[in-house]
Amino acid sequence: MSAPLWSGGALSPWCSPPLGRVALALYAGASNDHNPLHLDPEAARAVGLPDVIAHGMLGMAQVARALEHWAGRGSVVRIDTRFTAPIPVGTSLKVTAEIVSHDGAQAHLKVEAAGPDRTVMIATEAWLARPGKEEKSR
Amino acid sequence: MTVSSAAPPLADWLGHVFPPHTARIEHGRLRLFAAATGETDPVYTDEEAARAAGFRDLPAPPTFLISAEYDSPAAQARLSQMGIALPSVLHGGQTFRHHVPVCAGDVVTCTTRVASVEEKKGGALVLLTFLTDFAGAEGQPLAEARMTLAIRPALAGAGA
Repeated sequence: MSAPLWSGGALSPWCSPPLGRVALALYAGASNDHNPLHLDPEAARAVGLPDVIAHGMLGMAQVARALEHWAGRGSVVRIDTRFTAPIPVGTSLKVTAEIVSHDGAQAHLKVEAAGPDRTVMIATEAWLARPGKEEKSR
Repeated sequence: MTVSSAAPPLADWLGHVFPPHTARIEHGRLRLFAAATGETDPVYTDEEAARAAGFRDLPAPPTFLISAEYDSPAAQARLSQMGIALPSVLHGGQTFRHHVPVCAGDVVTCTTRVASVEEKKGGALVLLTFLTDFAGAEGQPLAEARMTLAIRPALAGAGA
């Protein structure tokens, strides 16, 4: 797989699949996060939300997919995320990146994931290392 | 449920270390995580593809480890033990630092402590941060995760 971050290519925006109800249910099972705000519309309405919202961690997993799309599998050394707005069910996140620093082997990115109305829902800083064989075979 | 009278005030939990949880990272669990996150790269689902890409086995994706920690019944009980109702909780922030790649078959010990408790808005909002260390079978550090929860105690009785 070619990783554009290391080959000088542009970091084109990456779009997640829509995070629909089935995805939220699957993620609840896969993550063991059973908070009813992600599964039960009544529980969501009781706290003032119009409907269920995606797990922040499901959104963060999409940011991680974008990072690996740009920098390769196993490249994420550190990822710091703030969940800045609830992610409505059905949202497809558009993930965009800005390079803060880059020395050919390591890079620091500022990344945002936004919904269709450009509301930023996830703000991330990520530190990436160019994947190498020596790092993968412990 | 409001804040349980049996639970001490949240500020008293600062520094508390919860009992460690040790588990083997399972192939099926990683495949389920891949399916749930829409991941289609066979590196995450097919051992041969993973090995061809240089991994020892199926790798754990960058945000997976906190889910492995949530497998522990103690982790599931943690919030109610602290008197916190799930509908009052929003996930405010999350970080991961990875020291060594974690793969299927690895035995991982997760140890979580309360790293900070901050009251905001006169107690209407509490920011609670857990720090989790992930260690390998020989105790070597694998990763660490920091989870910040925004708790609005007034919503404790809502939903659920």
